Amino acid sequence: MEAIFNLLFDELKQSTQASEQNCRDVATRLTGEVTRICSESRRIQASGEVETWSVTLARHRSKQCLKYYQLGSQRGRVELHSTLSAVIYRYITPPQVQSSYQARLTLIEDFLQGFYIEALNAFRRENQMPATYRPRSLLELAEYMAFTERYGKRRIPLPGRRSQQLIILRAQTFSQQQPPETSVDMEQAAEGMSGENERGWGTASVQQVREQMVAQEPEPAEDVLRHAVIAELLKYLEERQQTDCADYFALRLQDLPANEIEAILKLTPRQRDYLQQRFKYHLIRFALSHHWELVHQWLEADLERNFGLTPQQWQLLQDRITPQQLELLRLKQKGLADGAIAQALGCTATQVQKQWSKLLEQAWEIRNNLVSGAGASTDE
Amino acid sequence: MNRETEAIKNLLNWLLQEPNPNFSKPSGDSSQETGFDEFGAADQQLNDSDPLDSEEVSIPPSQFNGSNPFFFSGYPFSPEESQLFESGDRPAVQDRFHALIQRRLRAEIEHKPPLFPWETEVCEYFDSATPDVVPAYFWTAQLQNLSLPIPMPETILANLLEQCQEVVQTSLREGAKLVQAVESLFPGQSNALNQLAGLVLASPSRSAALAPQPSRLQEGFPSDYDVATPAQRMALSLIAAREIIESLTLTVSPSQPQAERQWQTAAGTLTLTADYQIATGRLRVQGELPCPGSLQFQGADAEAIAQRSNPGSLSVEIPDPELGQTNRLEVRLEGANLAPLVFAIRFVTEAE
Repeated sequence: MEAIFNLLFDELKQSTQASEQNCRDVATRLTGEVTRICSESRRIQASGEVETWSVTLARHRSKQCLKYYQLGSQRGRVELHSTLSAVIYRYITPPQVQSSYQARLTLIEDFLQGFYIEALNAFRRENQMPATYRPRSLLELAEYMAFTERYGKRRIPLPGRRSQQLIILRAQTFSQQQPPETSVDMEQAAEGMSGENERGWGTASVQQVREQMVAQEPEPAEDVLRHAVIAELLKYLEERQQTDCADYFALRLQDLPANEIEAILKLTPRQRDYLQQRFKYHLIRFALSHHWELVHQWLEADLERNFGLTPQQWQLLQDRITPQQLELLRLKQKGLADGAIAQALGCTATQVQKQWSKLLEQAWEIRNNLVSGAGASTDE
Repeated sequence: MNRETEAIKNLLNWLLQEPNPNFSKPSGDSSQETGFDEFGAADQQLNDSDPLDSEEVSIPPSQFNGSNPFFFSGYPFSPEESQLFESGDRPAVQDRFHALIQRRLRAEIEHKPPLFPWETEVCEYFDSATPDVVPAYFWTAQLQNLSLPIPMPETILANLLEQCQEVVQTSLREGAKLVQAVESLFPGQSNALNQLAGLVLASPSRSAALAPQPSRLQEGFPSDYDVATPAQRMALSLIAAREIIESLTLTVSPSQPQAERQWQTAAGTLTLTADYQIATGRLRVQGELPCPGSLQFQGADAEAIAQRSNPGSLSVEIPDPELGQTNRLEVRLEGANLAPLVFAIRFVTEAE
C-alpha cells in the first residue's frame, strides 16, 4: 500500500497548496480507507486484481477530494448540500397535508444538519481520529466534504437482494419520526394526483389503469422497456429543445403534486398547465410518429400482431383507412424502409411518415375503444 | 377531440407507474432501522455486505476512465454488463431529476449556506490550519513567552496587549507609556504607578538580558499572582507592559538600519524585519506570515498595503520617513475574525 500512499500524496501535493504534513495526513487516511475496502471485499480479493482496484479506488477519492478543494469552503459546501438535498428530496416527506417545496426545504435543512454530525462522527471513527477532531485546513475540509458525500451514497443491503443509499434510509427514518400526519400525507398525496387529473388528465379510467398497472407483477423485461421508452422520450424532448417539458416529465415521474412542480419550476398554475399541455402534445408526437415501434412494443401492438387488434378491429381499420394508407400498411408489413415506400407510393418520406402517424392514430383509437370498455360498435 | 387521449393517458400512466424504482421502505422492518443518530443497524448491515457495493466506481479498473461513475451492483462486470446496469440502476431520468433539484436549490443554499457541526459561522479555510483559538487569544500566544518574574493571568496580559498597542503609537516617553498601559488595571493609582515605573525602567529589560536569570526585581515576589500584594501586581504589570511594548516596537536609524521581531501566534511565528535603505531613503518592512494575511504600513504621508492568500513573505515600504516619527504597522492574519496586531516602526536619529 506504499504505492497507493505515494500516489495519493503526490497528487495532493501537486494539486494543492496545502502543507506537506497536511497532504501526508490526508493521504494516509485515504490509503487506510482504500486498503480496508480492498482487504474486506471478497469480490476484489477474488478478482485477483487487488492492485488495480486499489488504484481505482484511490484515484476516485483523490478526485472527489480535489473537486471540493478547488471549489473552496463556500462553493464546496453549496455543492455538497445541494447534491445531498437532491438525493433525499423525494424521501423527505413533510407532515403537512400535502407536500410542498418550501416545507421539504425546511425539513431537508434540519435533516442534513443531523447528517453532517453523523458523517463527522463516522469520519472520526473510521479513521481512528480523536472525538475532538475537526477539519482545520482547506484540504481537511475538502476531505470531510468528499467523505460525507461518499458516506451518504453508501449502499446498504436490504432484504430481498435490494440495496439503498444510506442517506436515503436515514431520510426515510427521519420522515417517519415526523408527526403522525405523515401517514395521512401519503394518501393525500395520492389524492393530490387525482386532483390534478381533473385539471388535465381525465379521471376514473386513469385511476383504474393505474391500479391495474400496480397490480401487475412488474416484469423485469417490461421494466427495461419502460426505462428505454422513458430514456427515448427524454432524448426526444431534448432534441426538440423542449428542456422544460423534459424537466416537467422528470418531476412527474417522481410523483410530485402539481403545486410542488410549480414551485420547483417557478411557474404559476396557469403556466404549469400550459407546460403540461405542451408536454402532452410532444408525448403524442413521440408516440405516434417517432418512436412508435418502441411504444407499440409495450402495447404488445407491433405490426406483426396487427397493432394488437382483434380480427374484427383489424378489418375495421382496413375499412377506415384510405387506399393509399392501405398500400402503406402493406409495404410496412413487408418490412420496407420509409425511403423505399416513398418511392413505391410516389411521395416524399415525410409524407409517408405523416400518413403512417394518421394510420397509427386510427389503430389506437380502435384499440382504445375496447380497452376503455366502450364497445367499438357504440361509437360507430 | 378525445381520439388519442385514452391511449396517451395509458401510455403516460404506464411511464409514471412505480414512480421511483429505488424507492423502497426498509422492508417493513422499521424497528431495525430506528434511531436517526444510531449507527448500529446500518453499520451492522454494512459489515455483512461487500464494501465494494458502496463504491460509485464499478467499471473494472482496467477500463475505468474516471468520467463515468455509477452505482455498483454486483460482481465486476464486463463493459456490456456494466452498460446494462447503468440504464437499469440509474435511469437517465433520475439524473435529470437530481440535476433539476440541485439547480433549483443551489440558489437558495448559496443565499444561506449550511454550517458544519464544528462551525458557528461560515468561514474561509486556508492551506495552513486555521487556529483553534478564540480570536482574543490568537495573538496572546506570544505573551506566554514573556520573561516575567512569575506567571500572570492570561486575561490581564490580553488587556495589557491591547493597551500597549495604543501607547506604542504615541510619542510619550517610556515611563509615561508604561503607566498609561497599566493605568486602566489600577485606577487612581497614578502616583504609585509612576514610582514603580521608574524602578522598572531602572532595571535592565528582561528580554534584553541574555539568560532569564532572576533579577533583583524578582526577589520578594510570591510564587502566585493571586497572592501578590497590589504593589507587587502593579510592578508585575509594568514589567509585562515593558516587555510587550518592546516586542511591539522596531526601531531603526541611519546607523542601525535593521531591526527584527518575532511574535508567536496560535498559527505559528510571525517575523517582521524593518529595514531603512539609506541609498533610497525608504523604510521597508518585510513580514513572514504564518497564515494568509496582510500588512498595512502607515507613514506620515504615505501608506502601503500588501496581502497574500497563503502563508509566506510580504513586504511594504514608505518613502522618506521623518526622523523621530513613529509609523504604524498593522498586521492582519485571517482565520477567525481577528483584530489586527499593531506594531510601531520608529525611525530615529543616532542620538536617541
